[in-house]
Amino acid sequence: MKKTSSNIISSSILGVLLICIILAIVSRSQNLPDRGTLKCAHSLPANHPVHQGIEFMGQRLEEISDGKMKLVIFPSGQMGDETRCIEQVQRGSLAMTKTSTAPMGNFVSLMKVFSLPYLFDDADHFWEVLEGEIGQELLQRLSVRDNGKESGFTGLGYFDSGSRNFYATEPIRTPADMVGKKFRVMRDPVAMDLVEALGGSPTPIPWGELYTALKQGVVDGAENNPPSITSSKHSEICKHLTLDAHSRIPDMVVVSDRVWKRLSAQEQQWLKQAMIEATEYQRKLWVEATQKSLKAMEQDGVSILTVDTTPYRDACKPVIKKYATGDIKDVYDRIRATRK
Amino acid sequence: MQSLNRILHAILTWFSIGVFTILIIDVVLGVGSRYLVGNQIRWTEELATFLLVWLVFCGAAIAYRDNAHLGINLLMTKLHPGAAKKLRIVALIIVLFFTLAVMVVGGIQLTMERLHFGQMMSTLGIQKAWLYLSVPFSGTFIALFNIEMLINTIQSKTEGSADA
Amino acid sequence: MSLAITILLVLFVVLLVIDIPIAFVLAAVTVVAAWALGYEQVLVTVASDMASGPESFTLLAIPFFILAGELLGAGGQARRLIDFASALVGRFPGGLAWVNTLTCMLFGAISGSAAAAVSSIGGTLIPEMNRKGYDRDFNIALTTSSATTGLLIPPSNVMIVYAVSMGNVSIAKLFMAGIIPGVLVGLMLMVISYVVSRKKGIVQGSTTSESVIKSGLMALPSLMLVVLVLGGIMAGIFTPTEASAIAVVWAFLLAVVFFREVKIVELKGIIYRAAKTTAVVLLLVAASRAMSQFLTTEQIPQMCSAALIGMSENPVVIILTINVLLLIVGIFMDMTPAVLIFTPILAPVTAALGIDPVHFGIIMITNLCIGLCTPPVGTCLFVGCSVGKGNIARVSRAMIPFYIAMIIALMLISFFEEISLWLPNTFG
Ligand code: NA
Ligand code: NA
Repeated sequence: MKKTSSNIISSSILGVLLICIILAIVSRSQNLPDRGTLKCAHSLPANHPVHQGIEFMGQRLEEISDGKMKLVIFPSGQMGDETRCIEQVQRGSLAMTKTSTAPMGNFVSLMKVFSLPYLFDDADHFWEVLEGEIGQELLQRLSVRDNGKESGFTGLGYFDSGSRNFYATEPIRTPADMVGKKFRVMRDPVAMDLVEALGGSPTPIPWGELYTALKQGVVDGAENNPPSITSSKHSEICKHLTLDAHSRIPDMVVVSDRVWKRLSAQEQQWLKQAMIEATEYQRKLWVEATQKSLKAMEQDGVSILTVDTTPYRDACKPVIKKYATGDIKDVYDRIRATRK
Repeated sequence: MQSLNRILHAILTWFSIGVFTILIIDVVLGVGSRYLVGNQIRWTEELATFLLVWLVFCGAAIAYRDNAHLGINLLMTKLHPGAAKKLRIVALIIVLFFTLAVMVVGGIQLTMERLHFGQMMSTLGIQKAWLYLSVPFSGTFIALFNIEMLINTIQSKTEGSADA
Repeated sequence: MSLAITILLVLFVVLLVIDIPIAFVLAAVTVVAAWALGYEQVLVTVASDMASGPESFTLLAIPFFILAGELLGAGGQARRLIDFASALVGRFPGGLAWVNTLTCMLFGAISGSAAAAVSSIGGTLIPEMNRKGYDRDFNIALTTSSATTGLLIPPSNVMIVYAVSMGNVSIAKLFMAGIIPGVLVGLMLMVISYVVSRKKGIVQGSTTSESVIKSGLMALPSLMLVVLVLGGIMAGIFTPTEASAIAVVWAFLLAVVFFREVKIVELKGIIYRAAKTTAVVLLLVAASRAMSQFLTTEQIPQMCSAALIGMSENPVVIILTINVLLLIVGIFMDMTPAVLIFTPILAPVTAALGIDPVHFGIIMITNLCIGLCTPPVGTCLFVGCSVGKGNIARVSRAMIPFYIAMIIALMLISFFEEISLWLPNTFG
């Protein structure tokens, strides 16, 4: 190319670059952060009762605050998995997230208490504790890490996440049926020990690869709550569900401290109120969703086994002993004491 | 600069080869333990993703010095050498600025932020900050390699044909 | 808002033109656009999005298949495979190209990831096809487009993503629905290969039964690799991702231990090259992740579809509009985020038209498969260009006939629902 035309091209490229930089500066000076719009991300699909609970929360928040506050919700892991969302909440680039308390244990280790098997006797016990003194205290303690420093988030409230149960390609009637079988578990040492204590082989497989892994027989089963088993379509492959309810790991909604501190007392109050209403709404949805998914599984030819959980509880005792230490033991004992 | 970078490049190369090798052993160990021991070793899956992130960012620095990153090579070869040199310098400065800002500064902030919050990796039992450290690590090397290229480009003669 | 997006687009073009690597361009324009929109902590956010891009177990298939390919290539195993294939189909114009497409489809039938297919097949086949007189850019374009058939032919990771975000779709049905469309796309690509190769007159001569048997025996050890990988996955011994690591071990044993064609000292260079190629591809994945997170946060996909959908009430026009929208999305976004974001947006529109959600899933995935092969964000194209050592601009030009073939297949799939639904409705 000729020198002159080359120079014209290169100069115009530099000119455009310069204009872009100036425009970016102008744009930034005009864009002030909107305090009332809170970004909330989570990893569950949009048809999941938890998503519907959060949507309801956004709706109520808008109504209570007279349109001054609202939620923008990003479902389905659009912003990454639960751990990624928690990180972004700590940073403040996300205002809120819904997360299971299981990954939360990597941030505030006290939360590991919820992963312990048979911590709660049943759904009533679960809600009695969470809505009672202990649950509210744990919500407070979520703001503080083991070393006393701030964790970066404020706990807003709990959602129902039901009970986790084993499902497999073959029937599991007692822990003895689990021997020699591979079960997919979350990347959580408690869950791994739990499967091992029951006699199975815990296999960490990413959630997204699990359908294929079950189909091809890399693992023989997995564990989850009924709505997740149907929404992930694993019930297409695993025709046996055992209602052993080995754990009840709550979902919780947490707000970024950076965002929380920026809100006025009034705004914080609106948010809390919306959460309380959403919890109530979501609990109802959850019960319906669980029944619906159990029914759907039955229609799909899944055999649903109601089992005596005593052998499961007995087998899990070493796991509890291993993890219930220090503060976790203290909270564990207090939760157990509510039913003894 | 050039000789320093050659040494750094060699160190990075051996480091990446090491990471890659461990990565293979790790995944094979994961599968193997499932059948030989009966229980899969718990940390193999998390370690694999950890090593992959390190492999990618170390390799990215190596690839940067080797000019292996993919670009749309359309206009620059057709321009007059003088104009092309000017634009190449601008391009290098932009990459340098980006690398220093996002990978080095942003990466260090990210690592410090994770250290501050003390986030743990569930089965490895180490801090997540160690994973994110790969970003500023790689960014530092890319910046150094970039400065070398910048010096070379500025010193290069433009009369005659364009250099490749 | 729109100002920031304009800056993003203009900067994008300018930075690409001055030959800044695409990965850096993607991340840099994201930083500027987010900063212009008043984001806080832009630097740390982009750094963290980039780091989380490659933080995925599933992506491991890419480095492993790349390395296995390098090992097979260095040891001469790949050459033996191609010689065998040539002996079988060499007398047909484009015979090897057909082998390429068929291998991709076969690989697709065991793996759910297209990028893994490009890296494993491209890494071995592209250099050998170059050797046999095929044009490099054509080979890369062919492998890149053929590999996407693996996303339609089950199993397919992206179908699972779609089914879960759609809710009321059975993965098993979706898998079945993908078979014919996947084969259809593959056939279209083979037609193109035939036409292009015939025009260029690439034929390798005659086939004798003797040469077939001889080359077949020579290729047997490397064919064992296929058996091992396929068999291991189907028997449920390992996942497709883990299979890629097993492939490395087998390739290592063949090249270093059994045949001794690769010396231990040469391993350094092989791993070095594989590490570099991996980094080039996954840094692009990392940077695309940063941009995609930004676009998602700004809800730009929703705005685009809101502007397009509802322009017409004619079903044909709506389906065409959706196709155009998804093709444009595919140009700028990676597949998984696109499926996650657009499934809930488009589901009500297609439901109102009475389109079966299984059929719609196939339409969406076919669209986004084309996107995987287009710059500036196209994982398959990136893998293809790096394992085949090609130039993106030139390969994209060589892609044009393949784009046309894929779009024709897309139109057939869009307007004849039986192509997708016949199998699941008959056997489901
Ligand atoms: Na497939
Ligand atoms: Na694309």
